[in-house]
Amino acid sequence: MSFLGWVREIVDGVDSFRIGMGLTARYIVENLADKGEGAAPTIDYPTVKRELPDGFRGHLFNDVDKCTLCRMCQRACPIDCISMEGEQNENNKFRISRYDIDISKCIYCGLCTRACPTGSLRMTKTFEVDPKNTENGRGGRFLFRMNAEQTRRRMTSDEVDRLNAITCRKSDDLSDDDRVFLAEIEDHANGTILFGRYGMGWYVPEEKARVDAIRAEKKRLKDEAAAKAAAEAAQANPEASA
Amino acid sequence: MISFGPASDALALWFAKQGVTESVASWLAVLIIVCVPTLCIVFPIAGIAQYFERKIAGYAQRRRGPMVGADGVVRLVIDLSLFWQPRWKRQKAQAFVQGLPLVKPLLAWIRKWGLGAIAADGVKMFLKEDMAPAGANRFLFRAATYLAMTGSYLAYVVVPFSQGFHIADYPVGALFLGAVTGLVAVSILQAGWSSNNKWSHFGGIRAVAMIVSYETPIALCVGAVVMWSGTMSLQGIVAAQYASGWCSFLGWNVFQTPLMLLLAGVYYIAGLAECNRVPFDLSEGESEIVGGFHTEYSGLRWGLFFIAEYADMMIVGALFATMFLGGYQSPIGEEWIVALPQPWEAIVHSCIMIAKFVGSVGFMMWIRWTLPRFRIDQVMKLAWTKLVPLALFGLFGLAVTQWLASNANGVTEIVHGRYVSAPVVPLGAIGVGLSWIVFGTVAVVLVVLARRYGEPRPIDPAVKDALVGSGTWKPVAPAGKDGAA
Repeated sequence: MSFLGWVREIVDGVDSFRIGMGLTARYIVENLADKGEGAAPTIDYPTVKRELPDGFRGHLFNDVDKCTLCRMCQRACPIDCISMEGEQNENNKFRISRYDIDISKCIYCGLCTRACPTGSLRMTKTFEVDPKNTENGRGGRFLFRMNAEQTRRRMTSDEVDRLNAITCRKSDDLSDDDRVFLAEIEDHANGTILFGRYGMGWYVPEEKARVDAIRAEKKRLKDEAAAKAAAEAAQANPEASA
Repeated sequence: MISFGPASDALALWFAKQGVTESVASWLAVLIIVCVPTLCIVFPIAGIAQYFERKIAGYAQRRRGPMVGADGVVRLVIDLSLFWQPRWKRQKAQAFVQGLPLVKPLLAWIRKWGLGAIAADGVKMFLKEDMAPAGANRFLFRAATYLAMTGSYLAYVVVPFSQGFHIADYPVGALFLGAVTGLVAVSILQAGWSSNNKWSHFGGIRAVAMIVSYETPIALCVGAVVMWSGTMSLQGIVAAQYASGWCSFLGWNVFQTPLMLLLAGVYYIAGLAECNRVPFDLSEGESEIVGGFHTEYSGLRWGLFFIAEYADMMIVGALFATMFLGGYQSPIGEEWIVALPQPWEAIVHSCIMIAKFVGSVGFMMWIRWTLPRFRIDQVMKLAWTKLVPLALFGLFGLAVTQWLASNANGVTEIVHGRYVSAPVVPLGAIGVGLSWIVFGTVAVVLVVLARRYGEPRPIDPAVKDALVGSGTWKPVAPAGKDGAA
């Protein structure tokens, strides 16, 4: 290698070093100023949310007032995650009594929304299902929040906590206490609540009757227990009562 | 009875009063006096340096870098202290605390800059298990960490922070530095060998080969500076760079002749290799030899190597500042600082010194996140075919310059252990100007000629096709058009 070739190597090295250092310096400065090519595309996700594009396929939402129970969505669904039940009212109109989407199966393909003739079923721009989501300072399942909107009732945080826990279970697994609680919620709700795998939907009438029976039974048991306790107290302290 | 200043004496006395034997008490006192500052100062500094490194990395790569906030700490503390409460009550309390007037902006600030990462990394390092692999030589394995720390920290003994403000000012300070930093090479080889792991061994061997090779240009650079200043004491080297007036930066070695600039560049590059920094971090590499010599180290022992690396960087930066950037002297006149009353003079000087070497450490980080790493053969080639000839050229050129400017630098006066006066610019203004003109012209002519007639290094055609074809690589633009491409 000639001497000039040796110098050329060094000069080339210094040149490329200068170019590279200039690039990173520019990126650092632009990133600190948060503008220009070098600014980080990162956003502070939970606090800052990205604007979602139109046609974003988030969670499914069914507007029960519009739904005609035509079952087109059920047929369009490639993995059969939609199930529904309905009843006819006095005007022979179909009214939906249960609409269930098994979110653990749903692949968010959006075919059901295309099949829907009334436009009641649509995909929202929400996509968060984090049970630890602490929006409003408390945890909550998105699905339940959607349900709560449909019940048009404002619930206390205790109730929300409890419902969040309950909605994970199948209706067969619910305890009597849970059923009573749900019935109380249902009293204020514009419909009834029914629980599928990830729970949402509307009560069927049989469920309501069952709940009423359980509620009556519980009241009877409670009264009996109170009477028994009073009797025992009277036995234990006859002097006091006398 | 050993002593480490009045504080250690008082502590030893207290221990003796508790019924500890006198010799043990003095040792205990010294241990505490040494360990407490180490834990309180060195570890946080390493944590902060590492934070800045990661932040610079993020910003250079269009990322945000560390983003750990302290909200989790607040939540954890409240969760633990109100553990009997229902969850929603705890969350209310957390929200209340996080929304307090002083806490809220503080948390937001910590979150914005990711300052929680410093504490989180430190805690992580302390909590990890201390393990030694089966079949390792445990004594050497453990001793290597201490040796690395010793080598890195002994070097600080001779770093001058102000006039007369240093731990020791040996007449052979430059030589002492060379000897002490050699311990790092030993510790790395020891760590690599004693780990009983082939990757560690490779890493250790590579690191030592590199350090030994790069000691040569470093020694030549230090030798040239020592020759120029006429002293091996670092305080003397700093004092020799003194220049009166408001343009005191003209007295610094880098501005003396272009040869000094060249030597500074060579020293900096070799210093990078000396502390195993990118682009010379051949001693470790995830894709080839895992973690290199510290593959088998965990927790705090790994942390010690890590801290030693940062200490090495700072030592290289401190030496660079001392030898070429005028040490603790300010660039805008020295007289006004020297005239300050004592504690302030030392503080101002120390701040200037720290700013200088922190600046060069920052430059190392900047380099790290810009340049890709070399191959081991390229590293060796760079040392022996580029840096050593350049350093030799600088050394001999300086010798000739000094001989020509027969008014060699004056001798520093020492009064009451403090350097009170130093020579003016050794060559005189005219000499400095002349040397810049002569050497600068030669350099410019050489660069122009090399760009015009120099053969660029041949590139493997297959590699070139692959890279140019994919558009990721462009050859440096030829001379005449635009050198910067």
